[in-house]
Amino acid sequence: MLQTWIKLFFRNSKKNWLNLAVNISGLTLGFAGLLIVLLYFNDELSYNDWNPNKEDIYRVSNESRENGIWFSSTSAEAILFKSDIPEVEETILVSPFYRSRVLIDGGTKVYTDKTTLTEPNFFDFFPFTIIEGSTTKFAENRKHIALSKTLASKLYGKKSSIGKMIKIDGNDHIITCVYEVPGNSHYESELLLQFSKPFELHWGNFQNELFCRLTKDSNTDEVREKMNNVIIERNVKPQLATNNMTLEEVKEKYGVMTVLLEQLSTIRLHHKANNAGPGGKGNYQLLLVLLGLSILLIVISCVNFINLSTASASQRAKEVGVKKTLGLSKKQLIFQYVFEILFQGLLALLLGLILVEFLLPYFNQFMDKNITLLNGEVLLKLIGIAIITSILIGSVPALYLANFKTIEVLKGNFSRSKKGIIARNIMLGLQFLISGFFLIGVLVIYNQMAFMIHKDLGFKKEQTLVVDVYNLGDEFKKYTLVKNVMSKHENITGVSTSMFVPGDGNVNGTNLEYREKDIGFNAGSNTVDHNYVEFAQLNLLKGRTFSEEIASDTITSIILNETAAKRLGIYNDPIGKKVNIGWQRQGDERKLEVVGMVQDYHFDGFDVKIDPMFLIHWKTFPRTKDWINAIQFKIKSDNISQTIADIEEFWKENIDDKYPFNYEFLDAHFAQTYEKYEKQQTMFLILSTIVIIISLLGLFALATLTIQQRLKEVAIRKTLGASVKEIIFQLVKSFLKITLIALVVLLPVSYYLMQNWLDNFVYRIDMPIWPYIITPIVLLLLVFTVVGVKALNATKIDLIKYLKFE
Amino acid sequence: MITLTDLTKVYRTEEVETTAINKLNLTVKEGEFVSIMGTSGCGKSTLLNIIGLLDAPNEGSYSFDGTEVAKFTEKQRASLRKANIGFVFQNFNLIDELSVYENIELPLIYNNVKSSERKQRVTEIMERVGIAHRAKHFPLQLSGGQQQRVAVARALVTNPKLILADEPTGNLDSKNGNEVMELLTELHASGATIIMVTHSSYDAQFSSRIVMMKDGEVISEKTNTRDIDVLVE
Ligand SMILES: Nc1ncnc2c1ncn2[C@@H]1O[C@H](COP(=O)(O)OP(=O)(O)O)[C@@H](O)[C@H]1O
Ligand SMILES: [Mg+2]
Repeated sequence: MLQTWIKLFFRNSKKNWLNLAVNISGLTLGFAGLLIVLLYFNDELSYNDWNPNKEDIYRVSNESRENGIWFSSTSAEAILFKSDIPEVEETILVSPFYRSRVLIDGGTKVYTDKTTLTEPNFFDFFPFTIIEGSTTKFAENRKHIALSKTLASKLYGKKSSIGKMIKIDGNDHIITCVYEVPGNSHYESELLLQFSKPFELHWGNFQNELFCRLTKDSNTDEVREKMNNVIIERNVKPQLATNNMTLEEVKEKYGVMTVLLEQLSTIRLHHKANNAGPGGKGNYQLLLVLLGLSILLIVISCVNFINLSTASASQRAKEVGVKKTLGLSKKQLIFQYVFEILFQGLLALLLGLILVEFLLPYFNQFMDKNITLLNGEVLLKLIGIAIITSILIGSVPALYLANFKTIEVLKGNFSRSKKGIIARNIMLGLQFLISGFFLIGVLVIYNQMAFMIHKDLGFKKEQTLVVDVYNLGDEFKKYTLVKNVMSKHENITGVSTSMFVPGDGNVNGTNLEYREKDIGFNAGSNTVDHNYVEFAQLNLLKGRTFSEEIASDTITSIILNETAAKRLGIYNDPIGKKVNIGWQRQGDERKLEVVGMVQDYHFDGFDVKIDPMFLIHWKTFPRTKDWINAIQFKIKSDNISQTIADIEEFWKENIDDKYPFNYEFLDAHFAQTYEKYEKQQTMFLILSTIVIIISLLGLFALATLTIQQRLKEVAIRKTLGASVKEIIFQLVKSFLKITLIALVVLLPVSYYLMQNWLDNFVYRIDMPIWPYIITPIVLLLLVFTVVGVKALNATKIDLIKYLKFE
Repeated sequence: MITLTDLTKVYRTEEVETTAINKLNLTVKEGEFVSIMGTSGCGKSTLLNIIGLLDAPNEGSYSFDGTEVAKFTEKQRASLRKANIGFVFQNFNLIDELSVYENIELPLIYNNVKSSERKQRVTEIMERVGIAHRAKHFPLQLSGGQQQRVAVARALVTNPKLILADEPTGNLDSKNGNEVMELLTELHASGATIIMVTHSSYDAQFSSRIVMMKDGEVISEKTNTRDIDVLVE
């Protein structure tokens, strides 16, 4: 039995190899797409899944009217929530971004860029797998550190690292614990350092992530209420007297900060704040869209499969007819057919697996992931889906075949069902719609990207080398040394530093106040060197820039950007106005004098609205002097590599020999801010290619089917004298109609969706019109080509064969 | 009008070689109504297809209206065919998606007849074959006889020099078959040249000459003496 099936299958496939290839490749793409999305989904869902406390641990975010939602919290909250709220068993503060550190043991130096600062009870919240040592030991002393297995083996190879003394930033530490992160985790740190001393109660610094472990089954709404109460009782109310306001007035005027609780188990995909740990956040919506899309792709490939199979079923009608007259039962026929489809389905599955195995490395690199195919659960799901789809798509043509009336089949007569035709046309129209949408999407995204890349940013990013400065101590002194020496280099035209390196995303702010008018708001606080305005070629609109000759420029001078000046209400006449900033502590009675105003420039990412910002010299507030993140060099375009080598040599000798010499050109650095959109662009490009390929397969399938069914009509028309042109037009017509209907839906819908996408950008292009012209042209051309070629073939049929009657 | 000399048609498939027409000679004059008879598989349809320029012979000559067409390319055959020959098939070969009117109109469209003239000619011919009241119907809504009359109308609408009918009554009951035969006889009377393949000797009696075939050859010819004018009225 099986042997006959296989023999028949191969004989038929030989005749219909093109249909077979189209069928299998469509399904292969569909399965591959679904598999990748499932793997990706699974990976995103698996975050913190290993953590036994995941249901009880909540991150605290703070929501306020002024600042929206902040994912970081204060030490006061950490201390008071625990002491005042019975449901809060324990709290912990953890640094929210990975830091870079160098570990030194004698001659061995190891660098890690995944350092997390935390408190002794870290492992109570995140019980990593302990390889060596103990977490109790870790918690005993703040000089104790814990290392990941990988980092430990970099230092000591296979030897034990427990008890070893390590120097970090000049301080001694003892390794007490080596761990392994059991799975995707909120923190995947390589080095755990402890804060040097316990936190003092402070309401002002939102520097760390705060986690609370609640008692089992506590009511989170109640806990939130209690937390909000703590903030009012312990922070807001005590200040009322000094400000001479009632609680109601404060609520009315400023609003009161409230907390949000985000459960660790779901924080990766369902975060309320715009952050889900240093490893990044998941995008649930994107996942759903991808899942929906991949399912749609499968459905479409199935429909295409059915169409094509039905078409070849008609061709095979004779075989069926003969078989039926020979007494084959309907059941046997269906089995033969289902077997063939199942075989094709499993082949597609296999090819899909191979394809995914081949594509995964690229996908991993692209998404910065580490996904493997070896995921039993996902694979089982996929195999299940493959078998079910195969059986489903097998039954339709099988039933179609088996229900032929024997005589009719022998005559080569098939009726065409109206309903079937409409359903098929709708599916094809849908495919055109999706393809067209992706095509338009790609073109619009491309336009916006080009706009972003070429837009004037308000500063010059060319020929600027940015060298990272790590936690060195005495940073300003070292900067001065670099500047004095390297400025003399023949290929270096300038050296400067600013706290904000455009594109860094590390922008911090403080209050900027114009007390005379009682105006105050949060503004970007950019500490710079004297020459920065000239160095970055910012556009000075009013007043002057900082100067080394003027002593007050390191004491009371401040430069504003346009937005800041506008918000302060001094845009027309800013020079000489006296302002204050939040960095001034009690007793600091200085009045800062506005000496200049610069044109707004993109000191943050491109996709962020330009906020109010001020420039101030590093020395104005001595404690900021050691907050230098990077030193910038303007270099000439000749001999760049030599220039960089010279800087590196000087750097290693005089500035920093522990941390890696890390540099990047500012334009490349800034380009990172479009990375997200570049990824969207790539993703759209890939998806649109797949969708368009599958649609073309679908078009091919349906064209094959309909033309197959109309061959007799073609023969009649030809006999009556129709020319090749007339016949082709006749055959293409119905497809053109579907395309045109799809286009009518496509254009407004995609216009609306792309308009929405563009609205994500603060600085955006006007919607370009040409994608809406090109896409219809491309679609129509494709339809003409695919259907046209098929139709042309149809005109070459053997007339007699289709007119003849036995 | 038609002269076939040593006409031969061989079908070659992977396994076998079938000689469908074997050195056949036949002449048909203008205005004749010829019936071709013979056992199934003796090559009648093949012969008709070659005469109808749907197919080309392997050997021999075929002169149509004085032109040698045996070696014509497909394109040449097509243009000669559309201007000069009308077909009636056993299975009608109407296009199910088109109405009666549209089916009949098709050959005119392909012969580039202006639309006003088309309308007139289609209406005329529908009257003549008696299906004017079914103009807006679709083939599947008609009886077999009606369908065949539509097919005859379609074959006539271009005023072809030659009408070919392959078992036109094969799918019809005797009443409907008779109607169609009367139609053909009428046409013959008004001067049309008709070649018809048939199994029925009754039907063959309507024609002016009967050609018997066997194994791809003409084995006998018989001129019909019966006076058909009686039937015409
Ligand atoms: N396309 C074809 N391929 C191979 N053999 C054919 C083909 N058409 C007809 N024949 C063979 O040619 C012979 C004559 O067929 P045909 O002209 O259809 O006979 P009939 O007299 O019944 O109309 C038959 O033996 C038939 O099997
Ligand atoms: Mg025949």
